[in-house]
Amino acid sequence: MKENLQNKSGAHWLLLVLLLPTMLTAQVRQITGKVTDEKNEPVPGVSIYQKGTTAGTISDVNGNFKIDVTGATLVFSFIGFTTQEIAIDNKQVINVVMKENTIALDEVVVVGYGEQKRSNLTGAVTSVSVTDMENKTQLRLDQALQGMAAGVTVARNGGAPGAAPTIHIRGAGSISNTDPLWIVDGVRMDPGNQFDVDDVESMEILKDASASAIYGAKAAHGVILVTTKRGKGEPRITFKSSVSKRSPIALPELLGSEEFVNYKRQGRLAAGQNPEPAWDNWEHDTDWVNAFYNGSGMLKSYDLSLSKGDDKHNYFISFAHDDEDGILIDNGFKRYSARINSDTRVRKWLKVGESLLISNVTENPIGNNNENYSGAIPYRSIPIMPIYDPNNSYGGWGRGPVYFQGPNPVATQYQQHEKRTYNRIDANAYAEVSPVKGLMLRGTFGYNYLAYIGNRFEEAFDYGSFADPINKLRYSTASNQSLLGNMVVTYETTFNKHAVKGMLGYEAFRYDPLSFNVMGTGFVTDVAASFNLGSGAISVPDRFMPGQERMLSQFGRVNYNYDDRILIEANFRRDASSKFGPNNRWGVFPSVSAGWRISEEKFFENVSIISNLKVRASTGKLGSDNPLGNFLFLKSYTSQFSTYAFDATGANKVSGFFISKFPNTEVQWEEINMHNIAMDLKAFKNKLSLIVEYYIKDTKQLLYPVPIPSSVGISVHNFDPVNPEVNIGTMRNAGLDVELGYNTQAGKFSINTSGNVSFMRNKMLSLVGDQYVTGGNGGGQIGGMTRTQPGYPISSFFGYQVRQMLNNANEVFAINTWSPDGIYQEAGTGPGDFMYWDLNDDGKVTLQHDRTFIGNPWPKMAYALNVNATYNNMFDLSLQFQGVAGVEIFNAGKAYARNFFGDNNTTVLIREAWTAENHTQHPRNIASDPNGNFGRPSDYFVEKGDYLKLRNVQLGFNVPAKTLQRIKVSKLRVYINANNFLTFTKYSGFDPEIAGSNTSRGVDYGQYPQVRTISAGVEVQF
Amino acid sequence: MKRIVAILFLTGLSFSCSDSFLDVKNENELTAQNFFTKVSEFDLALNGTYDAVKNLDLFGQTFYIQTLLSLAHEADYWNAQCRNEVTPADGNVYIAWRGFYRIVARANDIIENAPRFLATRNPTDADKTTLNLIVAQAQFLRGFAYFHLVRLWGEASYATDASRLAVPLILKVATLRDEMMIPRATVGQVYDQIIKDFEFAAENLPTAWDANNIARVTRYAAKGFLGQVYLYMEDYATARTYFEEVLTSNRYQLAPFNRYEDLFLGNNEFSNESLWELNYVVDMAQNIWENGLGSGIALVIAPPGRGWSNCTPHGVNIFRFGSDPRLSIATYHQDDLVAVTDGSMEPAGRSEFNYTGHSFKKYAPKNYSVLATNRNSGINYLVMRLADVYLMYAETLNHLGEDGTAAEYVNKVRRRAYGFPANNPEPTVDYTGSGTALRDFIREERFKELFGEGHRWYDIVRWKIVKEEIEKYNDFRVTQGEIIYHDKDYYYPIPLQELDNNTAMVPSTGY
Repeated sequence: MKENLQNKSGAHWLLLVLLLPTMLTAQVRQITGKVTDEKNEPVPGVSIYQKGTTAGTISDVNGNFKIDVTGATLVFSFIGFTTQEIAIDNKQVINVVMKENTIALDEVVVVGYGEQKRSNLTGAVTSVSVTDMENKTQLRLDQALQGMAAGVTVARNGGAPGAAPTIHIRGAGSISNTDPLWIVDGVRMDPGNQFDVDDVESMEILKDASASAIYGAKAAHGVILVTTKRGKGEPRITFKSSVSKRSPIALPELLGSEEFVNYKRQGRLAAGQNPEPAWDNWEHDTDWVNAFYNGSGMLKSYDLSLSKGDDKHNYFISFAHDDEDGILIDNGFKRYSARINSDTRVRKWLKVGESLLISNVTENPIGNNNENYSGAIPYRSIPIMPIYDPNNSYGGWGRGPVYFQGPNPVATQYQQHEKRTYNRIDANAYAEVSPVKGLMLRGTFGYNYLAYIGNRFEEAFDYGSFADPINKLRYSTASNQSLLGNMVVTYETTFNKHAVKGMLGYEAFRYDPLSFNVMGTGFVTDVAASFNLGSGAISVPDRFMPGQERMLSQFGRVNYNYDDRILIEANFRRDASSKFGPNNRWGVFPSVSAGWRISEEKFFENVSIISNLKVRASTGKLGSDNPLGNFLFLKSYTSQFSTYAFDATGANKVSGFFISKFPNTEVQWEEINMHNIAMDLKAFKNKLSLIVEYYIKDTKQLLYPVPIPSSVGISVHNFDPVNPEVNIGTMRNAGLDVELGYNTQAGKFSINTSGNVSFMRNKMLSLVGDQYVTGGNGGGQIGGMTRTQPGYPISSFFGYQVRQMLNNANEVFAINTWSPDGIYQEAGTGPGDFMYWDLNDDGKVTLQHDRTFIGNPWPKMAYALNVNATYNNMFDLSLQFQGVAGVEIFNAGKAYARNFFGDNNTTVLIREAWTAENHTQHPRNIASDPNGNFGRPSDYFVEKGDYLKLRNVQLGFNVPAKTLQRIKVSKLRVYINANNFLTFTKYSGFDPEIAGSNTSRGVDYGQYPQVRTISAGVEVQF
Repeated sequence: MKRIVAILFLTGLSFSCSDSFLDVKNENELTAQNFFTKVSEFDLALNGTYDAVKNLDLFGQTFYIQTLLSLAHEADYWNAQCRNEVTPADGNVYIAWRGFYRIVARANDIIENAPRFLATRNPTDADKTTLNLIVAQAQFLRGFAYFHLVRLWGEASYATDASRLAVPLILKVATLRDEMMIPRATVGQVYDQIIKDFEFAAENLPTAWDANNIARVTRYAAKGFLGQVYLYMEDYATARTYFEEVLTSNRYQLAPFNRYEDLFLGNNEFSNESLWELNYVVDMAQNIWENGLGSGIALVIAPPGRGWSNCTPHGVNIFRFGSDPRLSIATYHQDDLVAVTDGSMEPAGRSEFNYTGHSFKKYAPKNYSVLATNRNSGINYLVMRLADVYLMYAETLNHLGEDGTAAEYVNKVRRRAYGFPANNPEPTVDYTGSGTALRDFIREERFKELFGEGHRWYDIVRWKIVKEEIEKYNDFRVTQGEIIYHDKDYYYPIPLQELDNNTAMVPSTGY
């Protein structure tokens, strides 16, 4: 914060704002009074403030209050009661009777193409408490969702600046991409790294078929509706600023030179290999981890907004800037964004409005390490190599000895000058016409544009064996635009106790991406940004790639409400996607749901504890075309990666064309059938709320690229054939989501608690025959540890089971006698190696027969608890706990941290390796690992991944109203925040939070380290 | 107000309500509708077929290194091939399979579409001539691919049992999944097709091409292959006629001694000694993984520190050369000067891998430096050269009992290697034996002359001496365990990928 105040002109301005008003005098008066309810009981904890400010006080245990005011109106508000505004006039004592608010239940929630009262909902819609997401130093909206809703699992993919997490709503519903659909202000839009979390007004998550079927073919994996802020009330300026420091949760300790050389030599001798001559007389002792993770980790965020709103017109304008420097050197993220939202009621029957977000994001990513590098931990670096070498004419970077083929990890970061710039416009406009009562027509038009520029200059380098004296400039651009237009007609009417609401809509969507990549070589300067400075060839490696996607949709909804007791809703959507051949284009996605508000029935009138009780059920069908590329139905020819020259010099380089794809006319929509039953409960004057939902989500027609024999010969360059997608598999997700909330006041304390728990089971039911999908990337040393196979959860860990450690030569001899060919495992198996179970008892451990299920990467339970406490409207404390249980992690990091892989270094954990003198449970140190202890996936790597994190803790202080009034500021809050603060886990790796793709889930082999963030911030409003 | 409502509806309608909105055009690729409508497009497809031969999977790196050098123990390397312990799951077995079937598919597409084009497009006579030349090249390349496939996967030699299983004989491009399920044909069936393809090529290809097309296959290359195919079939009489057609064509002669080494270092390309070579050129714009024009072989075998340099000549081979001068043609000595990163010349050196101090030299350029060549190698791959034809001819004649002429052709090769004129008798190097002694001498000559050129494995399989040969290599090994011989080592296993996905496929016996 200190740095912030000194360095930023914004801070000077803030200081001025703070000091200036103290010199002014305002007329301050004191008002006292008492707040009671209709039964004349005192009501403690009522929030009382002067209109136009947010500063104020709360009533005490006896309902009494005292407040200093300068304005004309006081506002009294409390949960469960109607908010009242009372003119002060000349009064000095104001007593208020609060009226219980039954409509408080009826917050309006945003649903697909409309709004709905929460009490009338029959589908599964979770409203996310947006205020809980603010100030958490999350740069991404998807990240901020973590722990906010039952059934919504968010896992961070490491701590790189701006990195996207993986989200699953009610489990992984497919083996391919299962990202949810994001709808921002009614328009399809992915709130990627350009979106400012502070701009969000509300978020709704549509979880079941009833709620999301209106989005049909894109809704299979859940829908997240985001509504951005609109102006309200008096003109208001809000300024927020924070500064944060991120630091890695854990980093490995690599061996220093002396131990490196000794252990390397030990391993080589054990394998009968001669030690490297280069190991003798080492001169350097480099700590590469420290040198690599030497970024400042500083994040600075600023947010300024201006808003105003009345019945006729409103606007909300905001500017935001975030600047993050990664914990890794030369790695960062920067964002500027501006938003303008406004609505105008032109006539009584006509309303128009727009939302506009203009953003600029620049990233300085981790360098591309030319396939010499696995994960983000520099295992492939050796301490005897120096960081710097003044004799190296290529930038003075250190070089490795002859046998070391890897890069200089620090140099690769600095010698690759990469900048990715994303300029975006995300806009939408609408017009709403209400010609007669009950009828409304709304037309919405959305436009998203991305101009991307990727600029990477690779300096010429010489890291010893790994060198490239030719510098390169790679320039890639993308220009993607999507257009969406829809027309929605809504009509509602009531007669007697019947209320009916109907909606019909039509939508068209087009997406037109374009990309172009160029590379030039041989630049005359060390770093260049223009091809004009190049002296070598300029090539177009990926060519010019235009693409098009289209979608047409028709949809409708009918709601029927009988006396607020019986609720019925039906949705349908018909979608057509250009991804499918002309015969299979259209898909129909219906859903139906019903609810019974038991608490509205006559017989329930006497149950005073329970204010609301509703049971509801839904069923329906959703679709997905996510896994599919375009034009699958056409037989196509391409010239990708196909060259030859028929003249001796190669001057006439020609391209070859070949079949790249078979026509796949059969492929259809992936289908998800979802069933949901639920209960909503509110009790104790709405202080307690409980939602329990049980769902079954069946994926049918699962798209799976059934492999074709490679003898068909259709494959690019050195790749496998592209396997045509076939609708073939089935999968089931089932689970229970529970959300519990409790709000209470005690004296000047007000506590707001909400918790959520989800229990989930995923099971692959069928695929083709006995086929399975192998996945799991563990870097260069180990892979193929996950399997998606019928009967097991998607991406289950499969591998060998360790039976015991072989402790002496007799044991090795004994197991080899069991085998028909004298080798039980490997010819090189020896003491200090694992013995694996021979599951089929054929005397041998084989790839085909002896691998089995060894772990499940999906948590059986995920939970979170949010606690917000305030004291006297002055101090506030919020805590977020989040955790998972019943989950396993494949700690592939062991293959690098306890073993020398190739020419890599390893960590100090190698001290625990088995030796003849010390029989540990970690395999021996032997070069090239002849038994495959670290190359075979086995249960040695599988660990419990349960964790509980104190995900966030924030302590805030609101400057009291008295002081604020003097300085003409309506709100001034300072806070400190700690994110990812504490982790409780038994996992032995760096951090148990591991995501990954759906078929390679939960494999930890050294991602960008998860980070802990400590921040301080200020928020001022006037 | 009505006007506004109308405008809103028009906005909606302007997105179009019909399915035509959904008809998008694939602007990145050609489709079956607009490809093969001109002869020039067949030429583009032929480029793709040549590309499939030279690419990284096959002779651009992987197949050459992992199979041709490793199976025969010319190399010592970190793969199962080097222990003769491959399984159906072996990645390199799979890459070879997929690589050769890629040639087959691309050639099939041309061969299959040519008649359709002729029947529907009213071609001119010039078109017909051009197309015929294209088809002849495609058939050559397809025959070449099947010749490798049958020698790698055929479970017996043609002469031993032509009814044993080999590989699927695929002659058209499948479209539906059912058409992809093709069972293994017999060794005999595959050989019959290979002969048909090479014969068509021999009849229709020109004897030579102009300089701009010098890398294309020719009539005598096809005849050379026909000779080789019949030799492998042990039909020595027919083999002889084809070899003699090549020899009497007067188009080919051994490179003189002073240009001999240059053949393998890229300095004597498209020489008179070469019947067919794959054209590689240093490509600074597209690297080998982007499938540029360069070769990736040198990256793996170059002397220590110059590339990955972890595939080195097996020590037994070094001693096997004895005092033969061809050791220095085939390998660098540790004191030989070879470029380093910045292009300066330094001793080749030795590392843990090439502990004998010898590194591969054929296909590893002296100037292979990151500076000058960006890890590309531009050395052409010699698929068939006259010295090989001489030795095959000698072997054929030895079988036919004409040992005198046989020895003369062996001696031509030897004389050149020792720096003498090839055609003049030279008692210091000439061999005069006959019968099985000559046979064994020819075998050893093939080892020395053709070391590192990818013929060794096929030779020892053909001679049925795999067991004796590979067991010699249990000495001097550092990288992997003991080599154990099994009868099934004579052929590769059908890869797991094919077994799993081709319902008509049966595994190789014993795997």
